[in-house]
Amino acid sequence: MSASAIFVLDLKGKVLICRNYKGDVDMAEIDHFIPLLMQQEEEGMICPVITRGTVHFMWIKHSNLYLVATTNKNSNASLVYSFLYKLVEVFTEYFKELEEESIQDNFVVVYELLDELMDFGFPQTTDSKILQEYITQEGTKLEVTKTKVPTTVTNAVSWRSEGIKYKKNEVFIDVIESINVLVNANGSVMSSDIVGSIKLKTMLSGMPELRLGLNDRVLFSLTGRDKGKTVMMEDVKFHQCVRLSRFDSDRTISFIPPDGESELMSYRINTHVKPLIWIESVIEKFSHSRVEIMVKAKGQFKKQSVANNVEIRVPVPSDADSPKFKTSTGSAKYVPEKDLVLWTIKSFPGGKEFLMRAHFGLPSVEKDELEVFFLMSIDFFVRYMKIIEKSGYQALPWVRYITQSGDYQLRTNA
Amino acid sequence: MKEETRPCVIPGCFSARRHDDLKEMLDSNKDSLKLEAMKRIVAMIARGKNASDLFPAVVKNVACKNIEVKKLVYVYLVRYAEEQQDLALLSISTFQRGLKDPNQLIRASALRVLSSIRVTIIVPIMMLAIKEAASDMSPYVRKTAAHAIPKLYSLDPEQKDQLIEVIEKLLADKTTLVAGSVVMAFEEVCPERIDLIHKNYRKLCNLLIDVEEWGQVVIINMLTRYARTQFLNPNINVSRVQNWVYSLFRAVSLPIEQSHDAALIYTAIRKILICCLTHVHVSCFSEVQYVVLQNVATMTIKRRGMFEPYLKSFYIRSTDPTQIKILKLEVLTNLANETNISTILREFQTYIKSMDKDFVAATIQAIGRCATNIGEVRDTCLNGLVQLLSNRDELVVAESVVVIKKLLQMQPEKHSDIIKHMAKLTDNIQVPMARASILWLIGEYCEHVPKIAPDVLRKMAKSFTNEEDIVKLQIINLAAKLYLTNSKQTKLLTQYVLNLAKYDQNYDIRDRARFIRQLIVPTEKSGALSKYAKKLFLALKPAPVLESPFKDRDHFQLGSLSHLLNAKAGGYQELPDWPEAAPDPSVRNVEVKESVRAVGTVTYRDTGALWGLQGNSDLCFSSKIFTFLEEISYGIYFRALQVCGGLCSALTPAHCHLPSSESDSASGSESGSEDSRSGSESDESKEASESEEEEEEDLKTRKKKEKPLKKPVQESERYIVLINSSQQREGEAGFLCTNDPQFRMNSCRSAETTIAPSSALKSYELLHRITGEGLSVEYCFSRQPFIPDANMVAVQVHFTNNSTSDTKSLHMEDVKLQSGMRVKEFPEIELLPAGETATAVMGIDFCDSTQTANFQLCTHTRKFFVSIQPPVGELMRPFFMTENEFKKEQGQLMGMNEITEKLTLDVKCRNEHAIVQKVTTAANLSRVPCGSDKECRFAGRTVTSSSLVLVTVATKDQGAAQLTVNCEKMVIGTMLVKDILLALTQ
Repeated sequence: MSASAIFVLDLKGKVLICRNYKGDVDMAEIDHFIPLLMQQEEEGMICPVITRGTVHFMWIKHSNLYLVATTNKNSNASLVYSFLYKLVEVFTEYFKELEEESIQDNFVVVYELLDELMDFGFPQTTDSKILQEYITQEGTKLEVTKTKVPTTVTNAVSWRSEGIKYKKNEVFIDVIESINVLVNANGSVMSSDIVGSIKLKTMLSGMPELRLGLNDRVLFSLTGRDKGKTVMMEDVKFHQCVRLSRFDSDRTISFIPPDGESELMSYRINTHVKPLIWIESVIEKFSHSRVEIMVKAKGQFKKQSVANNVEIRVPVPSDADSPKFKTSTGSAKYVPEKDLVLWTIKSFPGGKEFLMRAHFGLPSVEKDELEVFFLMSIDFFVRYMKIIEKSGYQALPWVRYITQSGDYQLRTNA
Repeated sequence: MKEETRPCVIPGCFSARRHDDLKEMLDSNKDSLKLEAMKRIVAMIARGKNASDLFPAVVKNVACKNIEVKKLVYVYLVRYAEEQQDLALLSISTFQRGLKDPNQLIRASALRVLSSIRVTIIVPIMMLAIKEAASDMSPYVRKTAAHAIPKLYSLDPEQKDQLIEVIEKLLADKTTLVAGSVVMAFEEVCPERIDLIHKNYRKLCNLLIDVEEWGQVVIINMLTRYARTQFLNPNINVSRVQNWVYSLFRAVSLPIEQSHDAALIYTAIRKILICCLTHVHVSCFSEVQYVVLQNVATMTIKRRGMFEPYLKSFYIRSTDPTQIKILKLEVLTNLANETNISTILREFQTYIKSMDKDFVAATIQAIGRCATNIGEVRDTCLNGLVQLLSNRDELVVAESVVVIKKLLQMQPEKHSDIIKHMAKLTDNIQVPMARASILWLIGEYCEHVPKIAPDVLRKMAKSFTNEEDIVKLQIINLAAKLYLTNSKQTKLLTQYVLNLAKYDQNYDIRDRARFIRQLIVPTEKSGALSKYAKKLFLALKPAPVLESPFKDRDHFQLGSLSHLLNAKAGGYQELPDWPEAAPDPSVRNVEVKESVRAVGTVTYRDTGALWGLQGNSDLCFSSKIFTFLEEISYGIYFRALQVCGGLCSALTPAHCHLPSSESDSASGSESGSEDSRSGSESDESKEASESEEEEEEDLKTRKKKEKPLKKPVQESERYIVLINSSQQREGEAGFLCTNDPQFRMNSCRSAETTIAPSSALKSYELLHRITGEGLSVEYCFSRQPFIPDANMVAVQVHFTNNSTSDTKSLHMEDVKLQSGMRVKEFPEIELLPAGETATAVMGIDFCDSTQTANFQLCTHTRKFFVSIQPPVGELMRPFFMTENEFKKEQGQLMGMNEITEKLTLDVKCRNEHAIVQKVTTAANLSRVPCGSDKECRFAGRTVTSSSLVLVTVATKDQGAAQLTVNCEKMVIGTMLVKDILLALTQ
C-alpha cells in the first residue's frame, strides 16, 4: 500500500536503522539516496520525492536524521509523508528527542516500534499513548498490562481506557492561536487569518463527558444574541472523540476526552486583523558602499497590553558586511547565515514606538519582506466547560489563551 | 560476564568469541541473561551487522516463556528466516503452539511473525493459520489475519482463491479494527472482485467513521473505485444528489445555505477546499504542503472557479521554501482571469524584488503566461517586462528577454520599438539564453527593424568567437535571414560569419554553417532547395503556447505518488469511468432486519467520515481529502454523494430517518420506513400490511373521517378516533404507546390540563393564495401529541381552495431536512373542491431545534416549495410537576443552564392570569401550582429529547419582573427567553 521499507539515515547517509516490510525493493537501493539528494541540492531543486529507476524515495528530514520510505508501487503520497511524521511523533514521545543518539541508544525499542507501527507496508495503530501501553522499555511492565492492550485498541471509545483515576480532577484548556498577516508596501492588509487550536490536558477520573462552549457566531445567530463578540470559524476540525451529531444540532461540543494531552479541535478564522505592530522602514544609500536601514516599529494595541518577545527580522543582501546597530530599545544582531538582521524586543508595550538603525557596508541594496513575531492574545474565547461524570466529582477547568508568533510579514519598498 | 559491558564495536577478530558469549547467554537458564543477549543481537541486526551464525542458538529460545525475549526472538526470526530456511522450520511448531495461546497478543504476534517468514515451504501452514485466525474471537487477531493475507499472496499467488474466501469472510466482520485491514487485503489481493463488496458496502460506510485513520484512507480509496463502477455519473444526474450534499454538510458541521440547485453542490465542494487551504496556509510540514499544492495546482487548471475566491491564500511569503513558492506561483497563474489579473500582477511585481533568483525567474515566466492567456493585459505585461529589461540584475533581464520574445511572437508588428530596445541590450547582457533570444527576435522580425538588424549582426560577427554555442547558432540564423532579406548590406558579413563557423570547435555549429551556406548562397551546384530558402527561414512561426506544466497531470489520481511524479508508478490503476447504466442497486441489499436500523440512524455519521473531515490527525487529513478531491478533478461532485445515494437508495423516501430510540425494535423501525413510503400517518407493521388492498381501504376510510374535520378544535376528537382505530388493530400505535410511557402520561395529562384554547393557536402562512394560484395553505401547531410518533410535533395544515377549479391529489414531496429531523407526511388529499377547505395533520421531529423543514407541496398540476419553521415554544410539550419537584429540578439546572432576564411587564399583563395566558401562548408549557402569587411557574419537556424546560416569572412592584428559564438545552433556553420576553412586554 504505501512503503516497502523504512530507513533512518544520518546526515551522511549511513543507515542507522532500517526495517524491510515487503521485500520487493532491494535494501541496497538506499545507498543511492544521498548522492541523488546531493545532486538535487546542487541544482537547487529539492523535491520530497526522489526517483531512481522504479524505486521512489519519499523522505523527510528531522533534526540530523533523514527518514526515508522506499516504494516501487503507486502509493498514496501524502499518506506516506503522514506516516513518516507520525513516526517522528511516536519516537519523540518515547525518547523525548529524536536524533542520532536516541536511535542508537534505543535500537530495540525502535525496532519493536517499527514492527508495530507498520505491517507489510500498511500503517497500523500509531497512537503513541496506546503503543506505550504495550511497548515499553522495561520488560517487567509488560506482564501487567499485556492483556489490556487489545481492549483499548478495540474499544468503542478507542481513545480512552477505562478505570483512570486522579486524586485531583482537572482539565487544562489551552487556546493557542497564531495570526498570519501579510501587509503590502503601502500599508494595506492583503491577507490575514488566524489559525488556532484548542489543546486539552485532561486529568479526570473515569469516563467523563465534557461540554465546551465557544463564542461561535453560528450558535449566537441561532439564538439571536448579541453578535458583538463572536467569531466565524471557517474551517473546523475535531478530534475523533467529539460527537458531531451534537455539534450538528445545537453546536455544543460534547465529548469524552482522551486522557492526557490531546488536540481537541483546530480552526481557522478569516478576519480582518489590524496589524498589531506597525513597521515603517527607510533605506538611505550613501554612495555605493554604504547603506543605512532605519526601521520604526509602533505598537498599535491597547496601552495596557504588552507583546512579549517581539522579533523583527529585516532581510539584508547576502553580501552585507560590517554591520553597526543602534536601537532605542531591545537588541539587534546580524545573522549572516540567514541574511537578516534580528531585532529583539523583550517586551513591547502598546502605543509605544521604537527605532532601530542598521548600518552596512557595500551591499547591493535590495529588500524583501519584514517579518515580525510576537505573542499577544485576541478575541476567540471559551465560554464554559462542563464536566459530567457518573460519580459526580468536582473538577476544575483551567483556561489559558496564547497567541503564538504567527507569520506576520510586512512588505517594504526597496 | 564482564564482557557484556564491552562496547559494541569490537575489532573483527573478537567477534567470533563475542558471539560465543552470546550463545552462552542464550543457553543459560536466566531470562535476564537471555534478554540481554537478545537485545544485543537485535541491536546488531539494526545496525546491519550479520548475526545469522547465531540462528540455532536463537531459534531454541522461541519457546521461551518470557514475552520480552520471545518478541525479540521473533524480530530475529523475521530477519533471518529466509536465509536459513531449514533451521527456521524448527521454530514452526512453536508458532503453531503460539497460535493457540490464550493470550490474544501472543496469538496475534505468532501469526504476524509466521506470516512474515518468507519461506515457501510453510505456505500450507500459513494458510491454515490464517483461516483459523480469521475466525478468532479477538478482533485483534482477526486484524492480524487480514494483514497476513497479502503477505501470503505475495509469497504464493496460487493461493488466491482460498485467500479470497478468507477475505470474504473477514469482510463480513463488524468490528472497526478489522475493517481497515481487510479492505487493504482486498485491494492487494483481489481488487477486481468488486462483487464481494456489494453485501458489505453499507456496513463499511457505517463503520468508516470509527475506523482508525490509516484504515479510513484505504476504505475511502476502495469506495471511490466502487462508486465509479456501481453508480451513475452524478454530473448527469444531479437532482438526486443535492439532498445528500446537504445532509453531508450538516454531518460535517459546516454551515451551509440551503438552496435548490446545483450551486449548492459547488458551495459544498468549496467548503472542503477551504479545509484544503488550511494546509496551504499553515506550513506545518513542507512536504505535506508540497503535495497539497501540487494537487491544488492540478485542480486549478480544470476548475478555476473553485479556488478563485481564495486567491489570497496563495500569496507567497518570503519564508516559504523555493519549491513551495514556485508551486504557489503556478496556482496563482492558473487562477488568473480578466477580473483578478490586476491584483495578481501587482503581487507578481512584489515577487520580482525577491532575492530568491529561481523564484524571480519563475515569476517572470508566470507573467508571460498570464499575458498569453489574458489578451487584455498583454500590453501591460509587456510594458512591465520591458521595464524589467533595465533591471540591474542580469538574471531578471535575461528571463524577461526570453519571455518577451515569446510574447512578441504573437503580434510583432506592433512592437518594433521593443525589438529595437532589446537590440541595444546585446551590448550589455551576457546571459547566453537571453542573447540568443534577442538575436532570434531580430532575425525573425528583421523587416521591422531594417536599420538596426545589420548593425547587430556586425557587432555579433565581431564577438562571434567568444560567444556560447547557442548564441553562435542564433548568429548564424540571423546572418542567414538577413542575407535573404537584405543581401546588399549583409552579404559580406554573412560570409564572414559562416567562415568563422566553418572552423568552430563545435560540430553542430560547423554543420549548421555548411547547411546554411548551401541553402542561401546560390551556386551552380545548389539544388532546388535554395529556391525555397526564403520560405524555409522566414516562414510564419506559430506563437508558442505557454502552458501550465500541470496540464497533463490531471489524468493521474490526485494524491497518488504517480500524480506527484507525473509518471506512472508501478501498480498504478486508473480510476474506472462511470458506468453507462447503473448496475443493479439491489445487490447491496442485505437482510433487512440487521441493517436497516443501523443505516437509518448512522447515516449522518458515515457521511461525515466519508468526507474525512473529522480526521483525528492533521496529517492524515490531507491524504484523505485527496481521495475526495480526485472526484472533483474529474468534474464530478463527489463520490461521497454517490456513496450515500447508494446507501440510502433502499430506503425509498429520501428522508425517512428511522426512530433511533433504544426501545424501538427492528420491526418498529422497519415499519417507520414502510410507512413514509405509503404516505400514511398510521403505523402499519409489516405483518399488518400483508394485503395491500386492505391497506388501501383502510386509508380511504380514514380519509373520509378526516375530511369533515375543519376546525382545529375538532382536532383532538380526531386523534381519539385515531387512537381507537389503531388500538383496535392491535398494531403499531399500541406498540408505540406502550413503549413510551412518558408520552402516554403526557397525552393523558394534556387532555386534562391543556390551557391554551384552540382559538389562541397562532396560524402561520405556508402558501399564499396568490402564489398558490388559488390554493392557500396555513399551518398551526395544534399542541396535541402526535400519535404515530411521540417525538414529533403535530402540525395542523389547513388548506383552502379559493380558485374556481378543483384541486386534486394534494400531497407532499421531496422533503429536505437537516440531519436528524424526520417528517411524517400528511395523507394525500385526493380532492379539494373549489371553495372548500380541508385539514390535515403532519408530524415533524425538529430534533429540538428551530431548523426549517422544507418540502414541496404538490397538487395534480403544480408544485410549491414551502417550509415550516417552528417557534421555539412549540418544540416542547407540557409536563406536570409539583412545586417541590419543580424546585428540585430547577436546582439541578443551574449555572450555564439558567438564563435570567429582567423585564418590565406590559401594562395589560400585570395580573397573574394575563401572565399565564401570555406565557402559555408563547410556549407549550403547563403551569406548575405555586403557593406564592408573586411567582408563576411553568414546566414542559422538549419533544425530541424530553429535556426539562422550566420557566419562572417572578413579579415585583410596578410591573418589574424577572424571567428565569432553566433548560439543559441552552439554545432552546435562550430562544425561549427571547420569545417569552417579547410576549410579556408587548
